Amino acid sequence: MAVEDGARGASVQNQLAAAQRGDASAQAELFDKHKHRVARQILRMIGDRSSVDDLVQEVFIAAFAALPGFRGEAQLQSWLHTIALNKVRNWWEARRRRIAREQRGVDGFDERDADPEHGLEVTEHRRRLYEALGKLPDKLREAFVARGVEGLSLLEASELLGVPVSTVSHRTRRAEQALCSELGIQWREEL
Amino acid sequence: MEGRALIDRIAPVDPDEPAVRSPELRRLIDDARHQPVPHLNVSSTAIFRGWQQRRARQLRQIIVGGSLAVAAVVLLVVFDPRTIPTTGAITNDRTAYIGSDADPQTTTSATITPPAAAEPILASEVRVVARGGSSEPRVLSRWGIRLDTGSYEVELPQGALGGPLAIVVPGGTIELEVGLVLIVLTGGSPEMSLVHGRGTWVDEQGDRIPMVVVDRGGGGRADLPSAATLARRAEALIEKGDRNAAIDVLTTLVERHPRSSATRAALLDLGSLLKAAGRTSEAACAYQLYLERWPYGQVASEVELAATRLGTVTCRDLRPR
Repeated sequence: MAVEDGARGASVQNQLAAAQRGDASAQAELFDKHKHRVARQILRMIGDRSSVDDLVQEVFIAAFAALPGFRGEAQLQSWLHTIALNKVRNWWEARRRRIAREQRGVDGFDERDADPEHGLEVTEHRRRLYEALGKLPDKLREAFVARGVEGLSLLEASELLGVPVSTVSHRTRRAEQALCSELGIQWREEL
Repeated sequence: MEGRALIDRIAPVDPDEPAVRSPELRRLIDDARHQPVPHLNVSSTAIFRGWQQRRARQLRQIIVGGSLAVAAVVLLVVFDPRTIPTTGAITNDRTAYIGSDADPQTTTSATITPPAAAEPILASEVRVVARGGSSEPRVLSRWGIRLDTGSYEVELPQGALGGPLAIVVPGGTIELEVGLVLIVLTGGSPEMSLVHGRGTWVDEQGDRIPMVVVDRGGGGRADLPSAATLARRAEALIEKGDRNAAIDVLTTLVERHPRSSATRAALLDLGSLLKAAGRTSEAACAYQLYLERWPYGQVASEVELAATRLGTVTCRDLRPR
C-alpha cells in the first residue's frame, strides 16, 4: 500500500514537473483532472453560470503561469482554489463596477441564466442570495461561501482563506447577519 | 453595530458550530448548492494557448525591463562624475593602493567613497531580548532604541552608568531608569509591564506617566493577558502574515490558559501555522494535544485527518502542554 502511495506521489510530481516545463499533455491532464472541481467552486462563489467558463480559463492560465513557483507545500487543489478566490474577487469587483455604470440593480442573473430543469422559484432563490452576497465585503463573502455554500469545516476554511479559525467563525456570523438583514430574514439569534 | 461586532469577536468559537443558523437562509443556500455546473466549453488547448501567450508577454516584459535597466546602468556609469577619469585625483579609497605598485598620483578610476556615518552602538549594559518573529530592534543612540512589532524584554540593570534608556514604540516612549520591562507590540496600542525597577511612559503629547511595577503575586499571572486578548493578538499577527510571532502568542495562550474556550480554536490554528512553517513535529504535537483534550466530535476526525496528512511525523515532545 505504501509502495503504491509512493508510486502515485512520484507520478503526480512528474506530472507537475512536466507541466512546469510547459509540456502541453501534462497541462492538459492536470486541467482535465481538476476542471470540474474548480468549475463547481467558482459557480458556488458567483452563482452565475454564464461566467464559469471564462473564470475557469483564467484560473488555469494563471495557475500554469505560476506553476514554477508552486513548491508543493499546499495541495494542488487548495492552491487552485486560492487562485479561483482571487479571480472571483476580481469578478465581483468588475460586476459591481458594471452595475454602478449601468445603474440597474440586477445584472448577470437574468433569464438567460435560469436553469430550465429547475423551477423558477429555485432560480429566484439563487438570484436573491447572490445579489445579497454581492453586496458583502470580499472577506465576509469568502468566509460565508466557504462555510455556508461550499460546506467546508472551520478548519478547512481557515486553511483555505489563510486566517484563524476564530476569524472564519466571526466573518461567517457577520456575513449571515448582513445577508439576513439584506434578504429580510430574521436572524436566528433574534428568534 | 460596532458593539455587536465587538461582542462577536469576544464570543468564544465552538469548532462544531453550524455554518448557517437561519433555516430560511439555509434553504436559499441549498438551492445554490444544487445548481448544476454548466458544461465547460473551454478546452485544454485554449488554456495552453492562453498560457503560451501569457508567457510570451512575460518574456517580452523581462527583456524590455532588462534592457532598460542595462541602459540606465550604462548611462549612470558614463555620466557619473565620480567615475570620470581624472588624472592625479586624490581619492579616499586608500585600500586601492594597499599592496599595489600603482602610484596614487596616476591612478585614474578609483571611486571616491564618502566616509560612512558611524552606526550608533547601544550601551553594553542594556539587554534586549526579541522573541521569535519580532522585528529587529533599531538602535537610535547609546541610550535609545526603537521597537516596531513583536514581543520584547528590555532590561537595564542597577548600577548602569548612563541612561535612562529611551525605548521608542508606536504611540510614545518608555524611559527606563532601571529594571525590566516587557513590551508587546501588535499594531494596536503597545502593551507593557514593568516587572521591576523604575520607568516613565511619555506619550506623543509629552505627558509623563510613571509606570507601576506589576503585581507578580498569585504566581506572577497578574501581567498575563487574558485568553481573549491573546487570541485577538494572534489573529492580528496572522492577518499581517507574521507567522512566527503568531505561533509564539498562540503557544502562550495554550500554555497559560489551558481551560479557556479560546484554546480549542487556538490549537487548530497553531497546528496549521506550525505545519505551514515546516515545523511538522510541533504541528503533530498541537493536533495530538487537541485530540487529547477534545477527542470527540466532527472536528476531532478532521484534526486526525490533518495529523495524518503530516505523514509519518510524530510528536516527540508534547509541547505546548
